[in-house]
Amino acid sequence: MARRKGQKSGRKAPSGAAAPTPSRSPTPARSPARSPAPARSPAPSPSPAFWFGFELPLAKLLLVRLALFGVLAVDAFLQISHAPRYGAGDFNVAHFAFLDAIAPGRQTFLLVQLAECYLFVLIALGVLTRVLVPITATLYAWIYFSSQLDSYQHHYLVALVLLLACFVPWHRPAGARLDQPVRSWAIRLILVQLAIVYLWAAIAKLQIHWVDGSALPLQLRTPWLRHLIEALPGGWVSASAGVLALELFLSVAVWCRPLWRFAAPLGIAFHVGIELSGLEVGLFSYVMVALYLLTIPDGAVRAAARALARRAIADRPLSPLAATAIAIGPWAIAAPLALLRLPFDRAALLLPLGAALLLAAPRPRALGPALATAAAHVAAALVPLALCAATDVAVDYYRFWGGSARRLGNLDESRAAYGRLLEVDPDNGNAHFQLARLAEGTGAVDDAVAHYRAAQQAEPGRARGYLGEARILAQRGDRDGALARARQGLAAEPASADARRLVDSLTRGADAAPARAPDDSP
Amino acid sequence: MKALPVSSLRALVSTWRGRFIAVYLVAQLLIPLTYYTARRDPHDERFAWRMFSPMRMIQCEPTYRLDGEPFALGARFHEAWIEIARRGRFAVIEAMGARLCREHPGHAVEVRVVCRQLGGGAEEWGGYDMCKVPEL
Repeated sequence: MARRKGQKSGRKAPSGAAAPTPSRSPTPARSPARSPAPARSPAPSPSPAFWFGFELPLAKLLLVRLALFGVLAVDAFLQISHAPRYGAGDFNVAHFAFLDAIAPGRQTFLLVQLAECYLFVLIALGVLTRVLVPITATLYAWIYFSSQLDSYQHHYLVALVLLLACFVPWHRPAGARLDQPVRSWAIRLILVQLAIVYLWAAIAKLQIHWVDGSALPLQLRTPWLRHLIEALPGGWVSASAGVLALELFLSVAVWCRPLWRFAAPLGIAFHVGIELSGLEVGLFSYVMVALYLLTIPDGAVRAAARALARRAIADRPLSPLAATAIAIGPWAIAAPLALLRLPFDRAALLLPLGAALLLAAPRPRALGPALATAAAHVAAALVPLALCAATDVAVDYYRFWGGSARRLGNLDESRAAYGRLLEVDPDNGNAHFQLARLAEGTGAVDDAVAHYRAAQQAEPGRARGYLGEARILAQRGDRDGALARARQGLAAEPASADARRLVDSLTRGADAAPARAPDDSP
Repeated sequence: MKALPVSSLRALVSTWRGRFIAVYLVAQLLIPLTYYTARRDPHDERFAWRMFSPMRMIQCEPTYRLDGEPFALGARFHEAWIEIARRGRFAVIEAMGARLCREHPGHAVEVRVVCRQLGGGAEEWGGYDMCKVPEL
């Protein structure tokens, strides 16, 4: 007979296994007065205890939730600049062929990343984790596996971690103590997954080019790190052997609790070192550091949790109407601001707005205190806005879109992208320069000159804007004006071979000047 | 004592959670193993956890010729795909060839990939009409 939900297998608990939280969620009974719940009585852990008896303090779980999903939120937003490559030229190769049919295009990729950014913030803050983690895991897996444009192994790792995270009891029940132990086989499996990664990574390095120290210097470009390694006894050979030994050690220590006191500092230092080395791994180092929080000593986490456990707003009563208003209010302010910089259609704003309404609707048993939920939505709305203001993601998005469309021959699309780029960044010299070239190509010479002059103002240290105008003046027969502009270009960028060539040809009175400015930037 | 691992394994696979763990672990051990045993493309390190392996440093130069004339990839494919092709990913190089074959029916699309090894040598693939032989 099939077991009912929540019913345990009834196997004998291993001796000495403390098991206060056998269910998926560490849910103590919720009292009307929301008073702290008493400690639960120990329950037997199903066998094998290695998996089903694995426990960690609730505070550590919440810390990892905040750090991991916070980093993933930032990462999702930063991915937006890569959106223009998706669907470009109507070409895609999925990791699995059957996914080619549902591969995202530019707009879809952008919207999914924006949605993930929003949802990851909500998860980090503990909103509806049982629903939102599977949703984000599905979105992430879809985007990753449906195009080999993203072949980063760390994104594959994140996809797997999100799959396993679907089975982790991330939610903090009302009244649960921060030092309460939580049992989770999925967290154990995440740690074992990390061990598998280290093991295979070490195996991949068991070949001559790594062992003899010739591969590592090709990958590390940061001067200070190179000098540091070269000063070591044994130099690159020692460093290569050290990386190999460390990966082998971590493949055991990361899941073996007695070794955590060594794994945590070594693992964190290793991944911080990778970040400092300048290797192009995006936010992978931060994801790993977030996961290494699982290996910091439980006692330290409990002590910190007690010091920080001052819940200010979570248990204050709030009317559903007020909570909903708080959730919607920031959106009403944020939406017009978002339209200024974020690259999506106005209609797309309805999606997060609808999600905010849906999730902020008062369902206390599912969502927890209304004010905390509303505050989470405020944070989720503000994070992408803050990231948009603090980074060049929007500028890069339009720049890459314009460049990609131009190279693939979609000139109208390219013109539109650069036009939007100027809305975001009116003084963007590259946008003016590319618009000038596009205008020149259609014979709109006056527009081209206007954009070349704007590029000259925006890029005082570059010659290309001057050279573009000089060529137009030369074609119009104004050789003196052209020469003056070319000389201005050479003065702005003395190292420019194009500027020197154009000045020489105009000085000689030759017609050797190329008709178009070089295509030298995205 | 010898029966302990067997009984633990039985206990593990007696629940859906345990079966999930078992399948997951077997997959994570076998999928990377395929790189060393069954993968025809040595540059394709996906799903093998070969972070920063020496293979990653190999540079390839894929060249496409349409009826014998050089074909400019940049005018047809996004540069991100070209960059992946330069890492020698067969699946992408072949897909590019297949796309060109579809867009230019009746023409020959010759693809040649030359990869420089870390040790200094070079390997070469292709050199024939991919519309007739679609794999490297």
